[in-house]
Amino acid sequence: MRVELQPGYILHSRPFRDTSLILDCLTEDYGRLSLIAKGARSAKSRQRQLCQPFTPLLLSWQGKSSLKTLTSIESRQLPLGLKGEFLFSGLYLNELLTRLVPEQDSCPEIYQSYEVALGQLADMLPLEPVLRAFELRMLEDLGYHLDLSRDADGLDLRAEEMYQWWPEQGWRLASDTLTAQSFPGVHLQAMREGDFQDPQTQRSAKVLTRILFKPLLGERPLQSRKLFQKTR
Amino acid sequence: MFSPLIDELMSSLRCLPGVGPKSAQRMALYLLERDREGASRLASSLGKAVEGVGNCSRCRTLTEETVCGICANSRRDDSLLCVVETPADVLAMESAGIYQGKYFILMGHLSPIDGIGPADIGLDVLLTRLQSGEIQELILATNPTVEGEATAHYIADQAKAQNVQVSRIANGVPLGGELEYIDGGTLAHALSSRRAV
Repeated sequence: MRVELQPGYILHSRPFRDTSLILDCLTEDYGRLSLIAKGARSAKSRQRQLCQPFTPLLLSWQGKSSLKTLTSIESRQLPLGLKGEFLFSGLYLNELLTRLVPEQDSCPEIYQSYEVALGQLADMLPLEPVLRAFELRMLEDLGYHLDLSRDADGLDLRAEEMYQWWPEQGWRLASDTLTAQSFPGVHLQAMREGDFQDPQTQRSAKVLTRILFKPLLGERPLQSRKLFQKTR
Repeated sequence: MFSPLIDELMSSLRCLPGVGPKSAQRMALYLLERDREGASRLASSLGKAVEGVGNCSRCRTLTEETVCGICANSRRDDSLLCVVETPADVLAMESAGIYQGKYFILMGHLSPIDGIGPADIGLDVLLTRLQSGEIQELILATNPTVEGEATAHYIADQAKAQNVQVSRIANGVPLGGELEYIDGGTLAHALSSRRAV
């Protein structure tokens, strides 16, 4: 199979043999896939500068096995040049994608939201809303249905109530003893509308996405979170 | 087809980067047929190096001393510290010949997806050095890759918290290069950090 000039991003690259790289890419129509860039690490290679995350690329490849061979790589635009915390956040997105998106499975929605999120990080928009919106969209696209309008019994969520998330069931009214895992209905409504301006909503959204991602990520924690621990 | 000892030698040689079965066979046969003396020298120096070489307690570079030659050199400026990713980067910096300060070698870079976090690249050791107060300026010479930039930013944050002046090496057009053949990203960098002449 030959694919020409497919829009995509490199999520991660690792050295392979003496002069090659294995690229973990996210592409618009073909989802996540591994490409081998032969000779990309040799001294004369001009590919190497392009083989970096956060650069909008056009990728061409061929091959039948799960590891395809990169035939050409061109940049669509300049590298996004993420800096500081925005760069850490970009690395966080890449780690989420490499951990959770299955290979060779077309996921145009995830690609779109990734591209949007990277653009927002490059524009240095406030971090939390960008990350939470991406996480919620990603959960939705991975097939994790999160209904932010109705509770487990199909009743509308009410702004003034407190709710708890029950895995496999949905929202239920929080019992009298409130825990850290109880969410005010008003925050859930804001999340549904994609409005993360309020810091309280941001906090709820962060707790909620962590609860939801936990079973998907399993035992191994996300490493990129460590980058934030000392800087904040 | 070879006897067990020779087979073992060949498969051991293959731990070297870029050495496949064919090169391993060539090397093994060369050593046994033509240069037995060289082979035993190689064996004994390998043994000694593996036994004796550790990391410098100050800069983490590879050395058999507790403190490496550069760190022990009293003519070098103690108040300047240059952070690089690998011992090979130290050699590259030294061949430039103008740097007179000391080094700190991370032996890698931050790479969350590979599971390499701050503790794995010796940042706790670096922090203690920064806290000691002897360092006036920290020069971040990690590679201009995404991981290198992330590492530089992370270290810069910590150094600023200790009131140490931090700088990052410049990037731009290589000497003797031609603009026509330079990638857009590098040119954009070169243009945005242009200086008045």
